[in-house]
Amino acid sequence: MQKFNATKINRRSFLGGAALLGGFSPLALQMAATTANAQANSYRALVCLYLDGGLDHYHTMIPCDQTNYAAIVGQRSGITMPPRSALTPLTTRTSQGGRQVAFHPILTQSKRLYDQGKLAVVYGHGNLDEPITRADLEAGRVKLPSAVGSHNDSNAAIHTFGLEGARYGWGGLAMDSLQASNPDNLFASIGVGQLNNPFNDGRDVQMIKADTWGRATNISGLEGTLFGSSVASAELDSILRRGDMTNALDKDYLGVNQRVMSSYRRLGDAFAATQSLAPIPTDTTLPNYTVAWRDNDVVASLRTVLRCIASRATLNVNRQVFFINMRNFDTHGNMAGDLEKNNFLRLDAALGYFYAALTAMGLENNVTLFTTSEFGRSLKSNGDGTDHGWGGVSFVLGGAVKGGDIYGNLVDINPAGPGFQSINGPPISIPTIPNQQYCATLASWLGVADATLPTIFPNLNRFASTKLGFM
Amino acid sequence: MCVSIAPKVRVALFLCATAILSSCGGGGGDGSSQVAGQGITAGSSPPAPPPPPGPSADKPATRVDAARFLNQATFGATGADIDRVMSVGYAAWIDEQFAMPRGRTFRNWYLEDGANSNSAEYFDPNSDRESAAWFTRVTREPDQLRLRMAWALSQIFVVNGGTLMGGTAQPVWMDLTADNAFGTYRNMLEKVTFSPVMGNMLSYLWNQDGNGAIPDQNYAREIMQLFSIGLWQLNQDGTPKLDSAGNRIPTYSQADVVGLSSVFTGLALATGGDRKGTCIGYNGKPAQGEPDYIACELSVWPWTSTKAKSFLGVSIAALDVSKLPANSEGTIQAQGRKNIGIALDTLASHSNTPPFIARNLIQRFTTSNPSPAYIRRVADKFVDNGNGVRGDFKAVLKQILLDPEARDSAQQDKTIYGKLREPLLAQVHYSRVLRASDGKGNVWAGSGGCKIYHGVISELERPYAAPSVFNYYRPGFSPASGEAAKRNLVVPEMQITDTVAVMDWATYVKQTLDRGGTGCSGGARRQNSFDYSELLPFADNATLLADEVLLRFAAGSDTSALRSSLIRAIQSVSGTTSTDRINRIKIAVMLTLLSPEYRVQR
Repeated sequence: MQKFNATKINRRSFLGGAALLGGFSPLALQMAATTANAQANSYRALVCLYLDGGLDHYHTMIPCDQTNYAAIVGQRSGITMPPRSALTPLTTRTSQGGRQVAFHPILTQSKRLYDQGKLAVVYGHGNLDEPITRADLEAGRVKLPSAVGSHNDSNAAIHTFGLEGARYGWGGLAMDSLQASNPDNLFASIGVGQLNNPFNDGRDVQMIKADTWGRATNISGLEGTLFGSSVASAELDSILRRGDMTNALDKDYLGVNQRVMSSYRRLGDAFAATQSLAPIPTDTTLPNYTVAWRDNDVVASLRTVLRCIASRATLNVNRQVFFINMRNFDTHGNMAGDLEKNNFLRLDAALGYFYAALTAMGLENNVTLFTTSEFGRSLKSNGDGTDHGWGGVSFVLGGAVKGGDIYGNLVDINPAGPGFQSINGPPISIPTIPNQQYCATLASWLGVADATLPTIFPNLNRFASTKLGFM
Repeated sequence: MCVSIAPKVRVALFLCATAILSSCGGGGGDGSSQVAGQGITAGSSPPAPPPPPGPSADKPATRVDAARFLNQATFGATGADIDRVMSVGYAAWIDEQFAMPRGRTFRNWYLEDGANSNSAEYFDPNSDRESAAWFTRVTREPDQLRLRMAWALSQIFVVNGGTLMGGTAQPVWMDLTADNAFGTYRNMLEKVTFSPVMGNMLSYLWNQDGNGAIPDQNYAREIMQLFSIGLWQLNQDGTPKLDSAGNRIPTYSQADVVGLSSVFTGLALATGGDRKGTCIGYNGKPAQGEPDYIACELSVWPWTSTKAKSFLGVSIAALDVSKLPANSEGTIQAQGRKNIGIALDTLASHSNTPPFIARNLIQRFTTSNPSPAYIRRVADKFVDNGNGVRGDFKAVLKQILLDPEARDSAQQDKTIYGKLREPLLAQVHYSRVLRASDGKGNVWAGSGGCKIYHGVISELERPYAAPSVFNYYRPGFSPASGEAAKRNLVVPEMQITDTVAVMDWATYVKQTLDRGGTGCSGGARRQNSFDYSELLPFADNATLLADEVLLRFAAGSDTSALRSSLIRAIQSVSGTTSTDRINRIKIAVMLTLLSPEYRVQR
């Protein structure tokens, strides 16, 4: 058990958190804050929140200057757009040529965090191996990257920079290069909740899975007696510890068991020690928030991330990556129900919860959350939803983020203009920022050396700059 | 109302469901559609091909060989099935399975249990009933090969029945895959495409071309990528074709997706007026409620796209509506239906489809990394069952199970052969051997109380409720590190066999051995118990007990080391009370179920 020192609580942060979090436990906070002070100088973590299915960027960051609002409404027949009067244009540090965008009005926490300078919007990034213009595509000088349009390949593209089947993700590879920063790399790369992603896998560093709700115990039957027999328990232990199997599947199945045996007691103890940390609110503290907090699995997964982070001393790590999959963004239909009332509400609440909790722990400058998605969506409606696109939008959240700004250029909503291509189908937006640059900016902040970046992001050097400047 | 010529609005589906109960029409009027719920009958299937030559046609030499075969072809070898295969041989056992009656529909499971389509329990999202219907069928009923094939098909033609249509899509899809398990691929594609369940899953219900919107591309893309031809051109043995630079060659482009998307337009539920049909529900009466209604077939409506279309080298000319006489809706509908037929024919006859489907099915039954020669032999049966029929699932299945690489251990590379048992297969196998039941003939699948993963051991795998159309795991998944990675092997099921899943499996086995399985229905807990009677005769002899447990669970694995461990562990409980005898069985089962000798089926 760690000692705590009440005077070191950041009182302002605590109140900020309490306002959102309702019954936040002071004891857990104090513990977390103490640990924070001991390690805050060195600890850093990236949290990848994958919006699985392809986020509709036009419905998220809605064009709202008069011309472009009319244009997007014209493209989206059958989809109810918020009235222009409900949209508040974002202030930006750099001029966007009169073009303006606004968060969808449901995204109140995101907007608040943007206005407070804690959240940045990266606009128009996508799967690109080289710079591509509409003219290049139409003249046949360049081809679309082969993954464009395919969920699984585009998912692989932004998390591994290969096609589906690529083994190593940039989170795991980044941790490979940072192994010396961690006394122990067992918990360097953690996947939380359902659906594993190669983002977490490095050549050396392997993903460890953490349950959404923070359950972690050793293999049942290994401790004490098994059906009354200590011999049986010992035999089970030796069955699972064998290293002499010759079949690859046998070997790998035992490998997963052995990882549980070497890590889950520690992880379970860490979870037990943080039982009261960052409790999930029980009341309705957000405007329009109609999803029950306990049904928001993104909040539950982020809470598990926070409990891992709070346990960094016992898990023996200074650098970590986390991955969470948030499903159901493939909004081919029912945009209002699926995207707005389900996903936007859950996502927005989760971002507000996470930043408040981090602040209360005194770690808001040490942890950066960012979103990914395999692609943006088609400009045009298909009647009540949209199809797979190319370029899209992401959020980056944290105290270390140069927030309150849009990184990337807003383009006119004109399917015949330079921002779109339609050589083999309805118009989709051409990304202007390669995913590699977006992700390299984050990896660099985590501590990956400049010289190492091109080994993780293979085509980075084909672009004029390697970083976007939001960190 | 929702039946007017309307843009694609899926929210309307539920409104529609209640509005048209009495007039839910079936089919598109071309005479080929079958009544929902009656399935593909034996009469419509091609005759069985002659059995292939070679050792595979022989009878098993040992009970271990018979059990190994049954663990591939069923949800787990029972004593009776082992005896039967020993007696008649592999091929004859398969033929007996083919000839077996269709068996209970999943819908009937509810009816027999006293529920009906309107009962609150049926629609209770916190109920385990959909899962329990499946667990009960696959654990206890005899038409095992059909059910195992249905499970395999459901992992190619994937719907998330757990969240679609309030959960009622789950039993419908269980029945659709079981109905078509011994039919043809082309017919399966037809049934899938015209199912409201898939129409909802991949958002092509009410899909239209025009009125300011573009056709939804979802189904066009996934039917190619996942249900038929895949992303890359293949040789007949499943290896990728390469261009002159050594690169893989895509099977289709975005332009093909766009072209095909305009074919899958105009599909919606049939109802009213001249389309008044006879959608017969599971209970043999006109469809009355949602589960019946979503088992009906979609119709092609006159707002189907009449524009020119091209995809995969096929061109369909535009239908000039202006030149049609008045009241030509029927002509437009017939053309729309024909267009879909052309699209499905194109996919079914594509040269990629046989190796693509062959590889996927082999992985579901026998081994994750089949040799190219094995894939070729199965793909060849897909092309022609011996009687000129393409895509005959019976012939394909027989080849998969009787192929030398499936039966003859000399044909297998022991260092890579086999497949990891996915959580559900492991769980059902366990329930079958220990004859789980709640005393009323039902099997509940959970280990805890209500609302624990809806009654399954892994939140990563619920029956007929994969998280997306990409299934629970991908056929090409290869772990990042470890032995399989080093050797460039795929281990699809490893994608959901992570540290949490392994922890949960051990907990589930321990808890269910402690107190049987549980489930939830209508908010009330239901309790299974195990029947150890098949193992009790061996409980006083450690060697015999170890051998019997290993026979049932790990046939085909080299079990010499595990057997020694089991014997030592069993012998450590020396008493003679009934508790001691049961504890010896529990120890043998627990140690076996957690071992790789069990989890890797081979």
